[in-house]
Amino acid sequence: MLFEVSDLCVEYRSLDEISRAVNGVSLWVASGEVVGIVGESGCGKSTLALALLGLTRRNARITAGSVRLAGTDLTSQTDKQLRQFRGRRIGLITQNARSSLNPTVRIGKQIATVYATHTGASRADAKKAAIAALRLVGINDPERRYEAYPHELSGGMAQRAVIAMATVCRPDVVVADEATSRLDVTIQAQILDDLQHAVQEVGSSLVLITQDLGVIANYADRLYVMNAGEIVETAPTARLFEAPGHPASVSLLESQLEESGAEFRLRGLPVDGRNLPEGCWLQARCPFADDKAGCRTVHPELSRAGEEHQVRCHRTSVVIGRAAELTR
Amino acid sequence: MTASPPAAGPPTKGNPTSQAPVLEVRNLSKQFAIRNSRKLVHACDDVSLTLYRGQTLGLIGESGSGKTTVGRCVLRLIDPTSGSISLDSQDITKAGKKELQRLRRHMQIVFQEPAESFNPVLTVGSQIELSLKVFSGLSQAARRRRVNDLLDRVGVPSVAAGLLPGALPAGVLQKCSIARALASEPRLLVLDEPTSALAPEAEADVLGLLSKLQQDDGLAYLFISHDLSLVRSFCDFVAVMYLGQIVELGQKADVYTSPRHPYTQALLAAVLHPDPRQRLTRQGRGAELTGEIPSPIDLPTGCYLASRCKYVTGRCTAERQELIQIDASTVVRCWRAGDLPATEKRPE
Repeated sequence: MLFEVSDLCVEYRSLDEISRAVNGVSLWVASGEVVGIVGESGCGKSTLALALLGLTRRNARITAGSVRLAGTDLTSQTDKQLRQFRGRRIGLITQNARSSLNPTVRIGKQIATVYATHTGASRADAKKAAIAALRLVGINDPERRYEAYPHELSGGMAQRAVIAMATVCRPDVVVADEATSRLDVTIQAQILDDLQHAVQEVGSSLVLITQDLGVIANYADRLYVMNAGEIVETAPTARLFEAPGHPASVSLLESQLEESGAEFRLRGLPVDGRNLPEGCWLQARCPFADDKAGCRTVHPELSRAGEEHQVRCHRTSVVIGRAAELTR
Repeated sequence: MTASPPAAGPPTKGNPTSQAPVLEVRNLSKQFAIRNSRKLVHACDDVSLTLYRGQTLGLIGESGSGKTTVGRCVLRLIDPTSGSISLDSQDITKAGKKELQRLRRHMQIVFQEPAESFNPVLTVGSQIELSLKVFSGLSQAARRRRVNDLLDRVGVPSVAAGLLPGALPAGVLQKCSIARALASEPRLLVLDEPTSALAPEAEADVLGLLSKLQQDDGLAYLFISHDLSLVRSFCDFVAVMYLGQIVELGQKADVYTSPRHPYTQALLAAVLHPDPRQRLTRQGRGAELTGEIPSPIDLPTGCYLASRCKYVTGRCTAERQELIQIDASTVVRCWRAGDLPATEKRPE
């Protein structure tokens, strides 16, 4: 197993409050695999993404768990040690490409710097590597684009440049957090194709973090569904779309299918991490919640619902049965 | 050849055909000058559309395609370079300032970002009331009552009137901006990406409200959006824009199930469906466009899509494309529209 997260917990602290954003997340990504992490806004996806690279914000702390990349636990590394990993072994692509680029430096130079810093390559070799990386993500005429400043690029081009930067060192894992959600549809599909192509070429694994199930359905081999900072369901992509077993998955699916109602929609706002209830954390929002099943008293564990399919819900069989109306 | 004026099709929702359209736009073009340069940005070019009472026309296109420019020209927030705009059969293209103020009662706009379309230091109620002050002769007491009625119509509790915009969630605030737009009892609403700043739940809520208002009052909506599935679920007619031109206009069902213009085909083929059984490879996506969008400053002489279209021939690059009437309600800006292969049908 190349990349393995075990029981990871992340908390945000203010003067007198603790908000639990990531609660005991375990997941793994095999070499060359494309894995999706999905969930509604506020479910802890982005906090998890940052924690994977040890980039938690100042008021956040990893309180438990480990993030292992090919055997090394990243959570126990010093910041200086982590710099050997970020960019070199694990790449990050964020939502807003332009804010990941330095506006005063030519994009080719920025990519070459990443390469030279990590590999100690000469200036000429770094430039060659940067141009190859730009070509790999579908940028025409990369020699000319090498000289461009970020503001001279369209949104789609800037996003490609960031992908080039994340893949130039041939990292083991690339984490893409909503990498295409602000782009137009025609550009979105092209960039995801280019991203997929680039990681395949350099032999990386890809973690796609998104709320867009269209992206997952088209690119992920396997996925994890998050809610309230927990993994609530995991399955191979085809299985999850056929037989979603958790109310959070069903709600997400229903909200993105054309001509569907709101029968299975989770109600209200995301669960408040400062004040998690007893029992299932989703009970107050869940259309399937049932006192007799223990939803209000017992916190559910992840349990088997099929081949490679696990769900954290007391009412999985009912959910799978009802969701069949939706996925038929 | 001049384009035959394309109609947005026969009215469908219980309107007698004889009824005059609420909005009629003919050959609208808008060019923006660039400072210190003689060049022009062609933001919208030869746009014609017709909208009847109770109908919704979706204007879709990618960023920079000119959707918002059309919306603003329609309301005369900016002045078109050429073409004409008629509201209830009255030509308003040349209407003066005074006249416009009177006309704007009938046409209002809802913007994308509710937080930015309200003054942050005035209460929501006072800003809705301002519209009443401008457009109605009501007394102050009557205006206050009317503000409460309006909030009630959009399903916002009346306490919101006394709050500052920042105190309300985006979805509620967007409903307040709809209430403000309704204050003058308009016949036409331009909705410029009204839900793209909202979370999915709030989006569904606002769309439900807009549908209900349309049913009750017969409002005509010009619905500007980049979201293809949203337009599909909400509109009666669809106009697809590319580089400032409408390339295809027709009834929603026709455009979505049998798109005729190569650009429309590519746009629809690019949508990622939340269903792994419909997973398509890069090759399978077929209608894929190649290359980059030309600059709206240096537009090609022929078809604007020619450099990216896989069906391109010599005639495409040589001749400017005009709209061709395909049937009673569909127009397409492609001379080959009739003989292009049908798009690959996705399994339903």
